[in-house]
Amino acid sequence: MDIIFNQLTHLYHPKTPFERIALNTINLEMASQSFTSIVGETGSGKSTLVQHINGLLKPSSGSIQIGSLSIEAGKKVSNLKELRKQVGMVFQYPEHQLFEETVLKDICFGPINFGVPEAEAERRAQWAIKQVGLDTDILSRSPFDLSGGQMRRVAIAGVLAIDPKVVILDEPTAGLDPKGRKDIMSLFKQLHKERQWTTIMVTHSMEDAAYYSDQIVVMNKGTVAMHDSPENVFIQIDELKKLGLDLPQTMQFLRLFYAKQKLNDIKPVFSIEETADEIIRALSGEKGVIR
Amino acid sequence: MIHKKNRIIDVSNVYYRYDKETNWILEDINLSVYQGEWLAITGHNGSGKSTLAKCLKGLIMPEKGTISVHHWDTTDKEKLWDIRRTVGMVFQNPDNQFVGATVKDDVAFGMENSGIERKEMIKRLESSLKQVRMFDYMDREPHQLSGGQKQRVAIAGIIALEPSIIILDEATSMLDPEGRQSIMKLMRHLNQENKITVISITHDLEEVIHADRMIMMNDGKVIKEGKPRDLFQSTTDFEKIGLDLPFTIKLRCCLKEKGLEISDNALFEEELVNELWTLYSTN
Repeated sequence: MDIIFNQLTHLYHPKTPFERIALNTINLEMASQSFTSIVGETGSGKSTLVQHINGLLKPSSGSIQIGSLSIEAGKKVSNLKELRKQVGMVFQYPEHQLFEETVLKDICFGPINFGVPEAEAERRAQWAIKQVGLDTDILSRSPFDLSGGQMRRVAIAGVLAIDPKVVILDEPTAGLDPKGRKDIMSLFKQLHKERQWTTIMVTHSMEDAAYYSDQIVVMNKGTVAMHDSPENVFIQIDELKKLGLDLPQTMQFLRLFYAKQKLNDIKPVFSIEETADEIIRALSGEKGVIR
Repeated sequence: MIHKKNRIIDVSNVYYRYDKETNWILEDINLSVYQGEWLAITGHNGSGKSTLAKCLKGLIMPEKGTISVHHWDTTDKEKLWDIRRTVGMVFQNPDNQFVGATVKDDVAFGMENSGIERKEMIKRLESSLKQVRMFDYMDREPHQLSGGQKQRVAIAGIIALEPSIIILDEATSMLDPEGRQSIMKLMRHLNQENKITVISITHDLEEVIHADRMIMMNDGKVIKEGKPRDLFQSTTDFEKIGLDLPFTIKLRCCLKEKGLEISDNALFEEELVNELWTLYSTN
């Protein structure tokens, strides 16, 4: 599903002394089945932006189009339920939203709410729990007896069972240990591909943004400061610094390395393997250290 | 300089479990914490790190073994409040530890509980808020603060009680990069200038490499203890239990696999950069 922001502005507390522009004339397109990361300092408008995609917030002016559905400022939204069905949202700490007695009931809650018959919802739960790498035995247990990592997977299975076309991930790895982070991100990468999601991820991790995305949107004070491929975003070192953002660790290292070697170079490199290759290339290129 | 002789906490043969039917959460833990050091405790979720921290503050008692803080046993009821005052603890979630209606009230809360007299309280309130750079926010309410600011207020509440030890229980894991950096900078200052001993329970490997000493836990046991530089010389133990490695170590190993003749010493990025430079210039 294509997502198109058209001249969208969002005001907090409109027509009060506390009025504040949260989003200012946003024009943005996210192509169907692409993976877009939204980065920017706290308060730059990242979360406000994505909350328009599933109709949690409505534009103060302008419009947003999600596939064939659109939300326009000042107009009543007639198909909000359809929109919520198409746009799944994994909030920060999704495990805080588990509430049912059993994992099965929790996963079935969404589909049943959207009118899926119970038998079909249960079938989907069986499928979803396997997709997130958990055993079907877990369906009969209470979600509150699970470990943090398992709870997060159950919450994700709940979104999967609705079978959305667009998935919004709001800092999906916050609070997880390094292994948990890696596992969850690989899971999203796989689901993005297999389920043909249009994925939008809000993140503070430049490493994840660089490594997993097709496109990066850099937000600054309620506006879009950059919208480009990770390669083109992360070579704009001075710009990023002004926007309060770091480089991915791989590129930070390369910068130090180039500076010490008195090389005037910058390469968009996002994995350890590529970083090592670039170092070896630079060393052998200069004086043939590597034989 | 940390003198290994000045032990501030001693843990010997400690066992802990939630009830008699379940497995040990902590199993035969032996360790010491030295005055003025920065000790990092790392390991998987569920390895027992946070349980150990609660034992050190006297919030829970071991089933077997002893823990002493400043030579006070945590099971000694007469000393328990002294222990809890001298060991401050910052938890993971900034929203769960803000008890006051305003910043000022929140910092005063702990002092009121400790029966500190009003004149002294006002003095400490000011100085602790200044130290965490939240003095200008004294009358703010929690919803007006960022996660990092709330954690700084929590730290102000702790230092107002003049503790000798602060435990950070994944205190930065819910913060954005800016919040994380501000807390780390503040804690380094308290460690170096105020000589507060810091015990940091963390998954952040870039923080671990800056610690004076580290302890690695797995399945309720201490499996490694030493200086980060020594422990990261070999990566096999970390890989065996599936722990991630700091960036410099991962890159160092990758370069070595690809045939570069570099040592197993580099811990910080600058060190690896320097080593690569030396390699280049001597050829």
